[in-house]
Amino acid sequence: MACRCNANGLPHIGGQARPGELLPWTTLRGASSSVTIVAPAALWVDAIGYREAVFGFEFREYTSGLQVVLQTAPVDEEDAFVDLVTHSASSTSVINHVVVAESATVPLMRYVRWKITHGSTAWATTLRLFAAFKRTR
Amino acid sequence: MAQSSFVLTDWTTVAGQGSSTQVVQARPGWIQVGTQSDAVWVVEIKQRVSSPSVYVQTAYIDEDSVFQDISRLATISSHLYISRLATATTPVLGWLRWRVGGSTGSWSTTFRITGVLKNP
Repeated sequence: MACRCNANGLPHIGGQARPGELLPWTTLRGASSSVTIVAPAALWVDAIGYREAVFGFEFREYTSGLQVVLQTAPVDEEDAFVDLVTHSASSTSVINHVVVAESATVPLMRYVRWKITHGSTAWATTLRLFAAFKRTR
Repeated sequence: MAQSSFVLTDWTTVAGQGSSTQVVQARPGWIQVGTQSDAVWVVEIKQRVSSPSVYVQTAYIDEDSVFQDISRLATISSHLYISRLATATTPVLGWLRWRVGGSTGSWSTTFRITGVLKNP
């Protein structure tokens, strides 16, 4: 099965998975509340073979109310993605979210991507995202 | 990679001066974590002067600023720590290292950290 690693080399399917950056330091801005930015397909992560994951969110700046959503899908098609983790920016420290296979409302599926949105205003953020995929099947 | 044991540090003595001083493990000694979700480690402190604390830290990447504390021992004792992905606030991520946080005056501590990385 072909590997689809993202531009940051995450994860390394077929070898030893290395936790790393899902998104390196990046500044993004939305001109209004209707603006949502979704990771381009080249940055989607193929997490096949992994059941669980830990995701880290770190901000240098953010508009209050900003949300970063991690989505997952069984296939790499736009309409297949569903929300996996929703994180509301609230701190500049690294905040972790753990996705456990046995208890997750939405379990980790094959592909993972990020989405940034704000429900009520123009927004800006400088952030980076981490991921550590765990426990091969 | 189902399970692997590690020695984060063999017996070592660290000393410093003042509460603002901390000593962080040198980069070559950091341990890279694979896909294992759980960890068990033992921190043994045999000697301490004043009241330094021995911490184990984890991070997604090998960058100093993103390490997070996952255990702290501040007594002469041997303590077993268990981290399970399903229950830990901060599970083991991509790297492990230790640091010692100082205390007032001259301080020192002698300790060792060993453990196992595993899947359930």
